[in-house]
Amino acid sequence: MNVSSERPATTITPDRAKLGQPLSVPPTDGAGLPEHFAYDNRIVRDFGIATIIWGIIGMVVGVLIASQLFAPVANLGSQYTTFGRIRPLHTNAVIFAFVGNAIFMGVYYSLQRLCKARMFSDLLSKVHFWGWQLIIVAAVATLPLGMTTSHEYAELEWPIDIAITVIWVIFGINMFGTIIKRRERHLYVAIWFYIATFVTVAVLHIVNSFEMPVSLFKSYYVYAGVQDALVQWWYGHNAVAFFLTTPYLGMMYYFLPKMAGRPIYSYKLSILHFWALIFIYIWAGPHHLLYNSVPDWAQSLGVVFSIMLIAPSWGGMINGLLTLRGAWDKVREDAILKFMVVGLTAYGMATFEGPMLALKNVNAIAHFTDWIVAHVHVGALGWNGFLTFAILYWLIPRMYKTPLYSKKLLNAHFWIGTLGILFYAIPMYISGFLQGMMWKQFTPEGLLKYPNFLETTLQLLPLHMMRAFGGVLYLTGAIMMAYNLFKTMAAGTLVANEPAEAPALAAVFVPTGQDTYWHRWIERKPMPLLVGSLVVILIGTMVELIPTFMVKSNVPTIASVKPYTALEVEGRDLYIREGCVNCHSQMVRPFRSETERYGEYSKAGEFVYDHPFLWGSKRTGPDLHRVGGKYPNAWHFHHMHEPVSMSPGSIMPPYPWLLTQKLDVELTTKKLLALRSVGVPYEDETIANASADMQTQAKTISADLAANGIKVQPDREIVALIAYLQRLGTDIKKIAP
Amino acid sequence: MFKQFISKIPGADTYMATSFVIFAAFFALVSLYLIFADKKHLQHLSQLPLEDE
Repeated sequence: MNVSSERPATTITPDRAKLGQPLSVPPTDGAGLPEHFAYDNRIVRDFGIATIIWGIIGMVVGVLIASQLFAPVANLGSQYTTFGRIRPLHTNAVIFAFVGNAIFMGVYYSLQRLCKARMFSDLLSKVHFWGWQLIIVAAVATLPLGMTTSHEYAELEWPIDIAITVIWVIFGINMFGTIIKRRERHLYVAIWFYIATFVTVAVLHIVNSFEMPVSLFKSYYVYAGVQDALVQWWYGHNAVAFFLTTPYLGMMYYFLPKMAGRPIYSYKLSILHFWALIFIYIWAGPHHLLYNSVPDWAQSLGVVFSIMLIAPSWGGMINGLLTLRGAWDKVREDAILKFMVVGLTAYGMATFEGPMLALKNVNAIAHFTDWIVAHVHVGALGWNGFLTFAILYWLIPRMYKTPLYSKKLLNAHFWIGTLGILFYAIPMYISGFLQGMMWKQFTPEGLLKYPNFLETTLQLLPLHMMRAFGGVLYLTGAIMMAYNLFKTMAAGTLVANEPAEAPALAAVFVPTGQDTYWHRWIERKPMPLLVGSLVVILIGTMVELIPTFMVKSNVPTIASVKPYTALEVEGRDLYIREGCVNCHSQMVRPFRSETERYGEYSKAGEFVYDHPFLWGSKRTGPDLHRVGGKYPNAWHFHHMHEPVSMSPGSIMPPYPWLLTQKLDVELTTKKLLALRSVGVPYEDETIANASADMQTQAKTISADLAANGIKVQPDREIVALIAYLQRLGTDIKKIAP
Repeated sequence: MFKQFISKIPGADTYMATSFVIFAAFFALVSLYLIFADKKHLQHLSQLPLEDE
């Protein structure tokens, strides 16, 4: 990297200037001689390019899975491209690759300027960049292979979880190193959001990744059933909060004033909504589990804090929109600001809708439907997508010292992207509402109006086609942006090391007047800010999680619920591998409409041996918790081979490989030992006889299939899957009346 | 049958009420700080992103 040629002539030695180290000038609080240094734009550019490329890849996979929901042929006939396996690829690619790289791009640009210092270490910046890209590549390689933990938005297996931890810590060291060597005494509010993001994501990721490894790419969560569900949705909800929201609020607080050429509307509001947001967000996780088998008090807690969350969320949106007061003429002409306005509006809509969805009466209809998909995408496409596009359009020409290649393309991107969001969200809202109502509709005679689940799915296909069209529009806009920005890069030259100057801070700061106030103190100190943020998020975490872990009576046990047999464990792992949980829930809610359709509602005590829980969050197909014993083995065999043969018109892809692939039993004993180590009470005898017991059970199923004219070897995967499906939800039926 | 939804757990009321009080107190503290904060200082802070223009 040639740094000296791009820096103005000074008396500073290049290496010290490059690292932004203080020079031998008198240390005063901003009153000393200016120090010359250079901002690292190359790392910002690299994260920017990664954002664009991964964004497009993630969106292409999104369009593919959207197509699979109305055209099963789009599953491409391969086990590596079925919806269940690549839906996590889409979510991981857009969340951690697209949004993740965009966060690092925004943080690395703004942090340097707000601290008036180059990033702490160029080496750490590079390790962070390449490490993160390798993690994404690992995700792309493992998820289609069916290597998944099945925890939503945390599907990656344990070695990748460790890599994420290491790279996240490197990011943290680089960030705090930069903050410590800064030349600006006070930390602007954007940095508070970055610090809260860092510490909370670290806590979330570590707690949600406690797994017992079985092999390099197979593990079981140490949590089971209700606990696992609470941990997962404490994580899932707060991943939205602290990965998709707080870093973007930080970037909004930096980039919006830059774009609009005026300071943020209310700095007071930014402080108030920062503390309120990080305090309240962490409590609201259980709203993902309303009417599920979690304790009533936890559900109520989730509802109350979700409603409270409107205030700090809207504080951020209002602060952003009012920053543009008196500058709306600029918005009319500047498509970058238009992206920001639509992004902030989408944020406001999603953060109002979220608490509404947390109301139990609304949730009863919306949960498990496309409504949630619409809600999520208003946030993802509008808030995260549009803010990312705006920042990219603003940053790239500045770092390349050249105007944007085409403003017409920029304008076209804005409109096609907005249309894409509308075409996506509106059909999904209609679809979700329709779906939720159809599930609940009864005839005057008191029978389900749509007893066949498939009937409700088929009604939604035209809406799913419109959604996919919306996705194509949005993707087209992103491709236009990529072309526009790469042409801009080609026309200019990257200012890899942007010269800057600022006086060093005094070595010792003597506070006077209001500088002695406690909050003024925290504004100057990154570590107390980190600790403060940590304490605030841990309070909610402890209230939400500890009682469920500590108080045994919170999960009533059921005597007839027994651990899965060895064959059923293997079948369950196939269910996890194929990503069945992406379309099928295992949670019958206590509604008449559900007990009529599926059977007895699900009880917390039925899941005590479920590592992980498989309740799911979306019903593209019917709930499966009471599927055990509902159909004969032969039905399952034919259904997995060719779903339309049993359910004409079904959009479920066929799984013919399950009929031919031999079940891998090499790890069965290790799996039982691992499950025992996390609390499943397997006897020594059960583990010792696992292989023989497995064969006996498999032969019974194989013989039953043979009696129905189906010839299949007992050692095929389909047999294990049938064993698991036939066990589902049956233990409770063994209770004597 | 067995109890499915627990409406109360021992000590939970105090546990959650305490947390809520902590939040309310903290919120009040930040609000008070903001009411009495030096406007010039806040103005300086809000200008930070625009300083390198």
